[in-house]
Amino acid sequence: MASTLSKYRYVAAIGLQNTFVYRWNFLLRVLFGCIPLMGTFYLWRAIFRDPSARVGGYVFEGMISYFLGLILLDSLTSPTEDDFQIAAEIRGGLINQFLLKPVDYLAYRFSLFWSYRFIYTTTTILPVFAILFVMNHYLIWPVSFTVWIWAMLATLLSATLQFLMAYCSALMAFWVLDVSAPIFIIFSIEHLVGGHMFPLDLFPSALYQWIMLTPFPYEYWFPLSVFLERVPQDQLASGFVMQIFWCLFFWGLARWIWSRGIRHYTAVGG
Amino acid sequence: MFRYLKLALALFRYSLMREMMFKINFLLWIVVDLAWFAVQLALIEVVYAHVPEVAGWRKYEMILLIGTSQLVQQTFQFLFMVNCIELPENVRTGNLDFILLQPANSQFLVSIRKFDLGALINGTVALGIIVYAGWKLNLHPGMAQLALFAGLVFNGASIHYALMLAIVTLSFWIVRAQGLVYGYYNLFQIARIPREAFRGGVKIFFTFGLPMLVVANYPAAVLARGLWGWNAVWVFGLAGILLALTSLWFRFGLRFYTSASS
Repeated sequence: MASTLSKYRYVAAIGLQNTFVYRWNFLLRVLFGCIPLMGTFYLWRAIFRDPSARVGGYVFEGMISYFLGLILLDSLTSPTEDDFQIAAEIRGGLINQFLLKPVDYLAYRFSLFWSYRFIYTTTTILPVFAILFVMNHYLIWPVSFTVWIWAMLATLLSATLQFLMAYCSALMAFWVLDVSAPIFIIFSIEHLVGGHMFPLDLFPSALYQWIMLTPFPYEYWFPLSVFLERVPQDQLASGFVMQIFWCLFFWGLARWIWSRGIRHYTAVGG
Repeated sequence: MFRYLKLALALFRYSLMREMMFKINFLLWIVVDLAWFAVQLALIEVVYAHVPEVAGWRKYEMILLIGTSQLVQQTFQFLFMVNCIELPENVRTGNLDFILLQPANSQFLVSIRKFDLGALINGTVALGIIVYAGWKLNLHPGMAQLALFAGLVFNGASIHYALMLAIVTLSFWIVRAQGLVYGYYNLFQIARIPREAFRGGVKIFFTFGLPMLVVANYPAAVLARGLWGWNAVWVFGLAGILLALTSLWFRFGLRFYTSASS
């Protein structure tokens, strides 16, 4: 067990080094990532023309808290290039080495995902906290300590779910030459019904109920709602059950697609 | 001039043949852009279910703005975007050598080597949305107004081109500059927001520094809000200055290009 863990610890360490090789690329990506926040802030300020107005039960501060929380969640949990890297490794024949070694590819990629998340979070933590500090008067922080614990758990599950969904999408590379287009289509759906564009409870109620049955709200909307204390106590447990269910579902799906894909796979490259 | 037109036509034919080799992929990328466009329209639908106007723009004026932003973006994508995206990779791998050795202007070849034909279809959809919004707003634009709108759409695409080429030119110094390319996608989001929503230094910055608030707001305002005369025409000058500066910057960057091939 210890030797298995140490194996994937080394993978994570290599992931850290790889990220630093292209540090300028990485930093620019982080910097440009702040632009949509600015757009979002001004757009919602215009929507809340009257500062005391309410839009779908939100006050302006509540809405800005949602988007600031989203930035923090994104930096902690969202896979950035993992899906494209996995697809490239399948297409380029680089997975050959994993078929011959006692390394589980899913665990290998999961280790790399966490190392990249670690670097991303460490690098962005200063700008993110600077933004949170500047916009502090718009923020509504949770008061209760237990809310923080639940929010952290939901965040951890959100990261796992996002990784597994990205992993499953990338495995399409066993059958499709270029997976970018399907990935971007899934990404657009995630954006809309995952709560990346706006809080999902702004949707009409019936549509909202349907959306909550899909995996997408458990990527962004659910952890953010927990953090902003918008989930009623009696719905907290069912939310976590759904989040765990979707994690297990995509883990099983990943195993199943991999086993089917390997049978279809033609090893190319040396 | 005529020679370059012939060259562009030959490249267009080549792009068409290449796209038709991967038909499914071609169609899927059209769906990608349509999906993102639909996401933007869904945001408008949801927002206007709760408020009557945003920064003085009513619902169908806003849809007209989003449609115009999409039209400008698709015009830019049709002509330039793929080529700009490929520049950092061509610099990194040394493939730029093959372009530089051609007996034609390097910036021209770098900028319109490939046409994104899917953008033509998505641009047509955007145009349909603009016409629909115009019909809902009961607009009856004259020929001069339509000509100014079309000119400003191309002007917006030129601004996108100038800025993106300026950004990817940094790849002559930065080894892997894909982060820059992804970054530009974020700027498109600013272009879809009404200019009136911004204030102070940020508004000035996104009007004159990174003029995202010019590319779609001005043509949309010509149709929806009767913008006319010097108030609209000055942005052609802004695009001209940006294009000239970018050209100088690109040529300067090219001097630092060291082929990566062996």
